[in-house]
Amino acid sequence: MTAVPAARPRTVRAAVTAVLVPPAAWLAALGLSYVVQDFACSAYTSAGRVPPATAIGAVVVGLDVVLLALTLAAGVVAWQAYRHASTEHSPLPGFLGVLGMILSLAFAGGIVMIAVNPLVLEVCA
Amino acid sequence: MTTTDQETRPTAEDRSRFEEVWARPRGWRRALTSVQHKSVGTRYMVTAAVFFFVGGIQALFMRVQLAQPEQQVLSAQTYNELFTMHGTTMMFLFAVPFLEGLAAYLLPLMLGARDMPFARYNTFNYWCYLFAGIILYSSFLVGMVPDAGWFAYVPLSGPEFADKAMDIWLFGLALAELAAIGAAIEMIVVVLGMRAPGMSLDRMPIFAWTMLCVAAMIILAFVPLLVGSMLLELDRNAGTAFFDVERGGDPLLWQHLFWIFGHPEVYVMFLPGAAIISQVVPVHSRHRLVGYPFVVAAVVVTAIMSLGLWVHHMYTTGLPPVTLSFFTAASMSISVASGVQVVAWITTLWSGRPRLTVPMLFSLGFLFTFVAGGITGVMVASAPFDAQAHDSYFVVAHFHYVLIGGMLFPVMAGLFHWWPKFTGRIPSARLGTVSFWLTFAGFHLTFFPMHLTGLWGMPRRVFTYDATLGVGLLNLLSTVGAFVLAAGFVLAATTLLVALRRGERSGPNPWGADSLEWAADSPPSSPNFGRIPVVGSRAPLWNPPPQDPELDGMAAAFDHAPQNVRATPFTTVLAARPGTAAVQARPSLWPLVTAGGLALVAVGLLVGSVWVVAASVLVIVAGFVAWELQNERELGAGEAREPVGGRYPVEAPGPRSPGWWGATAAAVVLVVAVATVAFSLLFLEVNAPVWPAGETLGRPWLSAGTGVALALAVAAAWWGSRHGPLDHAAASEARGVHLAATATAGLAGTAALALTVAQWVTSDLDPTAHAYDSGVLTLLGTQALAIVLGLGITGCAVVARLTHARDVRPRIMLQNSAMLWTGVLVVWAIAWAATDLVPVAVV
Repeated sequence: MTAVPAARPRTVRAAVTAVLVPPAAWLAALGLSYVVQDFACSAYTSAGRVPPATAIGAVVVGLDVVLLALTLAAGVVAWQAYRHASTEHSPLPGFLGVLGMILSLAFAGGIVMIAVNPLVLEVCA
Repeated sequence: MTTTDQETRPTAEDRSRFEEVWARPRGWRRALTSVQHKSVGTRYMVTAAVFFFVGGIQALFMRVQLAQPEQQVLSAQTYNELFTMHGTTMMFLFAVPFLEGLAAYLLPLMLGARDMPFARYNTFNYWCYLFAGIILYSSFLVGMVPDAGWFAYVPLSGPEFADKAMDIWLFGLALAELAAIGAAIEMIVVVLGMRAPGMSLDRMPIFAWTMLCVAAMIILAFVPLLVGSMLLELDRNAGTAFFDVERGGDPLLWQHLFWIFGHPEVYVMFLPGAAIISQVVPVHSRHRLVGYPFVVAAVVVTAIMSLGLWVHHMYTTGLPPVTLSFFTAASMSISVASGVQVVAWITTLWSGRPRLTVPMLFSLGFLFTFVAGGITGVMVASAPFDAQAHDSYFVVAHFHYVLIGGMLFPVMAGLFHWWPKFTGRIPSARLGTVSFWLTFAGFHLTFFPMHLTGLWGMPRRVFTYDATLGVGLLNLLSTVGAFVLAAGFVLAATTLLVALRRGERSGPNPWGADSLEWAADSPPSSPNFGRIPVVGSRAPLWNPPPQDPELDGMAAAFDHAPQNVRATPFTTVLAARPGTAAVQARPSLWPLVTAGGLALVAVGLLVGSVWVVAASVLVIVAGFVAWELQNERELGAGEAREPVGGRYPVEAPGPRSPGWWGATAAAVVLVVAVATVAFSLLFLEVNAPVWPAGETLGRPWLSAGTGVALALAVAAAWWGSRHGPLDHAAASEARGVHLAATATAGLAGTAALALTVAQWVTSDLDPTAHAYDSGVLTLLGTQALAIVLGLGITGCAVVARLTHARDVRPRIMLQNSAMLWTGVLVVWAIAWAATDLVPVAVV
C-alpha cells in the first residue's frame, strides 16, 4: 500500500462543511420550531392576549423550509465533493462526501417530519 | 511495522531511558499519584463495578418487597430511598463512569497514542467521581438517604418537601457531572488530535467515532443538569424562586433541565454499547464491519437527534399538542438510525464466519434484547400511547430493555473481549457461557413480565400493590428472574477475577483482531507503544502497513523517544498527518488534592461551616498552583532539547497543541452553562402569569463597561500570543510583550469582575423576591465565575512566562487564555441579552 495522494483543500473544506451543516440545521429546526411556537404561544397566553397562531405557524414553517433547503444544499455539495474525490482517488474527502450525503438525507427527512406538524395541527391549542 | 532505510534504531541505552521516563510509581505512590490512562481507566471501571453490585443489591431488596402483594419487607420510606439510590447509582455512578473508564483505557491504545491528552485532569475527574460516590453513599451513614427519585422532580425535591438528604444528592451529583464533563473534554482531544499517523477520519475505529460524538453530547447535555442542580440548590438554601410558582418560578423548568440531560444520557450509554458491538462482532465474525460510512452516519444522527428528544419524557405535563408533535417526530426519526446499525451488524454476521465465543454470545444477546427494547421505544415515543403507559411498569420494562440490552450486554461482551488485553489472560469460555445464559434468561424473566404488569395497571415507584390487581404472579416471576440475573453477573465477575490468576495466557492478539490496541502487549506496557504504529486502512492489523515516508518518519522519530519527557505524536484532525509532539503528564498528587478540596467544599456547605469552605478553597487554590508549576517544569524539560527526531516541535500554537482544544472546550462549557441559565430565565418569563413587565437590569454603563473590559482581555491575550519565535533553538525575544499582555488581560479581567460585582450591588434586586431577580443575579454570578476562570488561566500564562526560557510555551498559554476570554465575552453577551434585551422584546 503506498501513500494516498493529498486531496485539494477546497474539496476537503467543502466535504467537511457538508458533514457539519445537516446536523446543525436539524438542531436549529427543532430548537427554533419549539422556541418560536411554544414560547410565543405561552407568552401571549400568559399576558392574557390571543396569540397570532397563523403568523406563528407561518414563521415556524418558513424557518423549517429555509433549513431544509440548506440541508439539501449541503447534500449536493457533499455529492460534488464525493465526485471530485473519486476522480482524485482521495479516500478521505470521498468518505466525507458519502457521510455528508447520508446525513443530508437523514436530517432532511427529520426536518420534514418537524415542519409538517404546524400544517396539520392547531398551532397554539 | 516498516522502517525507513536511513533511520537510526534506538540503542539499549535509549530504550532504558525511555522506560525510565514512563516508569510507573510503586507502592502507595502508585495508588495516589498514578495518572496513566490505563491506571485511571481501570480505577473508573473497578469503582463503577462496585457501585453496580451495590445498586444491584438495592434492586434485589426491591424485588423481594414486590414479590408478593401487600408485603412489609421494606417500609414505604425505605423503598423510596432504595429506588432513588438504585437509579442514581446505576445512572450516575455506574453506567456513564464505567464507559468513561473503558474509553480512558482503550482510546489511546486504539488510536496509537501513549496516554490521554491531559492525564492529570483525567485523574482529577476520576477522584471527583469517587468523592461524588462517597458523598452520595455517606447519606446512609448519617441516616439521610435521598428519596425523591433519581429524577428529583420539584416540588418533591424542593425545600418544602425534602430535607438535607436532597442536598447530599445534589452535591454528589454535581461532582459526578463535573467529572463526566472533564472526561468528555479528554475524549474529544484524544480522538481529534492524538491518532496514529495515517489514521484519517475514514480509518478511525467506530468506538472512537462514537466516543467523539458521546463526548460532544456530554458537554451539551450534562452542563444543563449541572446548572439545574445549582438552581435547585439555590432554591433550597439561598431562597431563590426558580421553581416556586408563587414567586414567578415553575416546577416544569426542572423537568426541562433534567430531561435535556436525561434523554441524551440514555444515548450516552447506548451509543458506546453499540460501538463495543461494532468492534466485537467483526472480530468474532472474521469479517470487516459492513457499511462503515452508514454506521458512522447512524452514530452522528443518533447523537444529534438525542439532544432533541427530551420532551418525550414530558408528554403528560400538559404541553401543547404541536410542541409534543415536534418531539414525537424527532423520537420516531432516531429509531431509523438505530435500525441502520442493527442491519450493519446482522449483515456483518451474515457475511462472515461467526465464532460462538463468549463476547459473541453477549453481542447476540444484545441484538435480541435491544431490538425488543427499541420496539417498545417506538411505542412510547407516540404521545397517545405514552399517555396510557406513562409512569407504569411498562416504562420500567422498556428502559431496562434498552439500558441492560443496549449497554450492559455490550459491556459484558467488551469485558470478555478485551480481558486478555487488560490482563494478559483469557477467561474461561465455559463459565463465561454459563454466565451469559444466566444473565440472558434472568434478564428476560425479570423484565418481560413487567410489560404486562404495566399494561395491566401497576404504577411504578410504589412499594406495594393490592392483590386484586392480579399482577402477583408476574411480580413473583420478575423477582425470581432478578435473582437469576444477579447470579449471572456474580458468575461473570467471578469468571473474570479467576482468570486474573488461572486464565490461559494470551498473546498480544488472541482473537486475531484488527484494531491497534491488539498491536500492544497484553497487558500493555506503560507507554503502550515503544514505536508508534502507522495506519493505512480501517483494519491496520489485517492489512499491510502503508509505505509512506512521512508517516514512517514520525514513527521512527518517536521510536522509544523522546527520553527526557513523556510525549506522543499530535497529528492533524482530518488526515492524521504528522504534526507535533504532545507532552504527557508524569505522576502527580495534585489532582487528588484539588478534587479532595472540591469534595470538602461540598462537605462544608452540607454541614454549614464557613471555615471548612474557606479552608477547602485554600486547598483547591494551592493544589491548582502546585499542579500548574509541575506542568510548566515538565514542559520546560521537554523543550530543553531539540524537537523530537529533529522535526516535531514540543507543542506549537493553534490546534497543533492539546491546550488549544482544551481551552476551546472549556469556553464551550462556559457558554453552554450561561445559555442554560438564560434559557431558564426566558422560559420562566414567558410562562409566569406575573412577571415584572419590561423590567431590565438597568445598569447599561456598568454592563457595557464589563463587555469592553472583557474585549480588552481577549485582545491583549491574542496580541501577546502572536509574539515570539517558535523555533526550539531561538532565544526569547518577547518576554516584555508577554508580561505586558498578561498584565493587561489580568487588569482588564479584574475590572470586568469589579464591574460585575458593582452591577449586583447597585441593582436593588432581591434574589428571594421573585424568579426574575433570582435569574438575573444568577446570570451575574455565572458571569463572575467565568471571569474568575479567565483570570486563573491568565495567571497560568504568567507562570509559563516566568518559568520558561523560550517563547513558545508563554505564546501557547496566552493563546489558550485568549480562547477562554473569548468564551467569557460570549458569556457576557448572552447574560446581557437575557437581562436587558429579551425582557423588552417579550410580550
